[in-house]
Amino acid sequence: MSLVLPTDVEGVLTGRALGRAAIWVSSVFLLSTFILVLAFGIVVPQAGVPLALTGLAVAGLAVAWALLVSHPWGVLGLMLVAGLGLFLFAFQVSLDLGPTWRSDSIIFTMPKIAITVVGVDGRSLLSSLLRSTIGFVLASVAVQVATRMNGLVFSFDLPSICIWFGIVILLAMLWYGRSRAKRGVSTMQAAAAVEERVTERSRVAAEASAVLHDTVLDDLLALSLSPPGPLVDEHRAFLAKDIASLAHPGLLVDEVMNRGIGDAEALEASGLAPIIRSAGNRGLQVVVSGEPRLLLELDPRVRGEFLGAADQALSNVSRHAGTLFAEVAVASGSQSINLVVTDSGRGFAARTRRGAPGRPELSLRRRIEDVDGTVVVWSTPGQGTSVLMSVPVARCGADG
Amino acid sequence: MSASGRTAQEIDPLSGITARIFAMAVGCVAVISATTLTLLNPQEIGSPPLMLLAFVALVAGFGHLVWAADPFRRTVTRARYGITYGLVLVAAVLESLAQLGRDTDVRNDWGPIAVALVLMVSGSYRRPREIVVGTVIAALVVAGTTVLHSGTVGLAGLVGATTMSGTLVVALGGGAAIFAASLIAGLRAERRRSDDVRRNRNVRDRRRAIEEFLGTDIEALRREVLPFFRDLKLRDALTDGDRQQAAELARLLRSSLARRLADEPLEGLVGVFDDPLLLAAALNTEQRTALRTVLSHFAGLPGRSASDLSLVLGRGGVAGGGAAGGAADGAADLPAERMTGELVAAFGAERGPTAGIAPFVGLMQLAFPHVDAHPTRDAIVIRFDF
Repeated sequence: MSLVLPTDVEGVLTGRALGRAAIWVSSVFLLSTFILVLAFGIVVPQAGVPLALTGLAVAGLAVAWALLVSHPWGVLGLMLVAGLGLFLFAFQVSLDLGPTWRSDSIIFTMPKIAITVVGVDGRSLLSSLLRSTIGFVLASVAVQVATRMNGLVFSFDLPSICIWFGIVILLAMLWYGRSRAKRGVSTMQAAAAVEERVTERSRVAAEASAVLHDTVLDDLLALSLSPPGPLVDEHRAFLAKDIASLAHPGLLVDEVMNRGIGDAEALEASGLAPIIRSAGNRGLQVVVSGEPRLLLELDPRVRGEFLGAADQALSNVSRHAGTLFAEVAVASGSQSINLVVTDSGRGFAARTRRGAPGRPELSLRRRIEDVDGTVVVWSTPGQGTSVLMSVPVARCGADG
Repeated sequence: MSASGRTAQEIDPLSGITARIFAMAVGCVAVISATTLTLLNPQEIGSPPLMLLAFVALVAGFGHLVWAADPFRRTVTRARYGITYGLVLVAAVLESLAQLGRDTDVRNDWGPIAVALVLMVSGSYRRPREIVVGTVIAALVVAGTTVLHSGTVGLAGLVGATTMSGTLVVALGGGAAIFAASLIAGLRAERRRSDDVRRNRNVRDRRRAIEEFLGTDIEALRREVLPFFRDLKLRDALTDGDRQQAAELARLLRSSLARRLADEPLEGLVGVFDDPLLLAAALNTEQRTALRTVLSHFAGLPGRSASDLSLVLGRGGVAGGGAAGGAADGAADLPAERMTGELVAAFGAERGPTAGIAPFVGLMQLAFPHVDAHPTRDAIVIRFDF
């Protein structure tokens, strides 16, 4: 059963994903800076080349690290290191630049942006804004001091100021959006959790009740059709059982709950659970019904082929059916154990799928026929597909 | 849509609420940047009509995205995002053509900025592979337009110009792809973890289950049948009277079972429940839970109760033509065999019905394959199929 609750209410996963994306963004800007230095033919003194490159690399590594750690002082320290790296780079690169160059040159703007993006990974709006602003200020000061020391003309770097401002606006919007999405979520989570538990308890109670009613009903009918006279042993046995069940209904609940737990364990033990999880990883939600514990009665080799075929059938649903939902049902037949994979996807006309060997359903069929089983496929365009796979009881573990 | 690989918004529609606000902000930033850069560099415009067309395409592109990202709709589909992406790409090309021969500095072109921004917002809406493809195409287009303006400046100059114009596209496009891949992987892992936690929780609910079991119509069974069975066991003999009583108890039990089967728990949560085809039986646990949660939310609003709610289930367009009375514009799009539902929550005029419901629509979208919400002046209509 999949969870019907929002997953990333606190935005932790979103923050982590933003941090990883920011590492890429920062790296691209720093790499572009390096390319621009080459493309512009900027002359750096021979001894200064390694220092400039080291400065750029240090800035990049410090930014990446700052996006991976969460301790505020750690982040601040790494931003200082990034600022120092940028100072080193800006100082070396601006050593021999002519008087026409200004401090707002693009080769200085790009690394500033690379350091400013460190703010996107903040755990709160305030933290994000502080990080971005501190990063921007540190990078700007580093560039201005370094270029000023080498005599470059001071100039306000409008593009970097605009980008910092843009980042601030987008961060504010992001956090505003997050707060809107969270509105009512606590109520929703509480309500959903309660409802899910109520549903599950109701299911257990209803199932136990149904079992009891069916048994008692059968026994009452048996009594009504029996001839008058002394009770027979069969009567005595079911009367004792029914009285116990009615007097101590907890026993029946235990039986039903244990059966449910047993099914979950059977799913794992039989090897069906990994197949369902694998389908889930592909985005396909699979509901399992029937009695998965029946699979444990199969010979391991037969079970392997059976589950391989089921996996293949679910892969076909993922690839061709155009639906996000499927059902796997396990049931026993008179002489067989059956597994049905059903989807309500686009389906197909039988003739259109006949063709070259190597089709997925052919290898699926071969797997099942290799263990003396049969495969039947029903499909109608627009109405989904059902694949029934059966293996004879004779191939079960008892004689396997 | 292929089942393999869903977008972040499809896995967790709540992220779509944040993403839409983000898309609106990014759209504004794109338009403001374009306007500012155009006003600051009027001398570079060679063809004002082309520039005007570029603006129209840009505004239309982001406007379409904001419309498509409405949290009451299912998702920003590939086609819907494709329209936005295409329009912004066209805007970038038109902006470049409008400056043909007069573009002295590619650094102040807004085309690449707009393209980069439209790629940036794709992180929540599209799959990583699609974003990568979009980034490569955008980088080629931006490089092409840059070459168009810098054809005579030599290789170094060309490299410099394309780096300046392409960096933002590669940075934000690649960043969006990484964001999407990381978020999707995280959401899936989190969902699996939550599933495991819940599976292990059921055992603790045994006592409550027994209480509920005792609270069901088993009580009548215990009252009627238990004394009869005890008496019979004590006497150890069956009389004609016992046989008649057994037949009568069986008849009562059968009719009680039939009544219980016809009971629909959702019925008690709404004022009007219409399910002539008994389709509620086909709702799975997730869908029931989502419906119950949304109904509980509506009924729990100040001044509202279950009597303000209606739930209609039907096939194809049946539900759409039911209680909501014409709110089901999309009913014709649904295949006839689909089961559909329509939940109507009526509100007084004093309260905006859409206030705060987006997360609940998102919850519905987690459980149902298709959900549409139609807010009206004094009600909200949520249509779903299952």
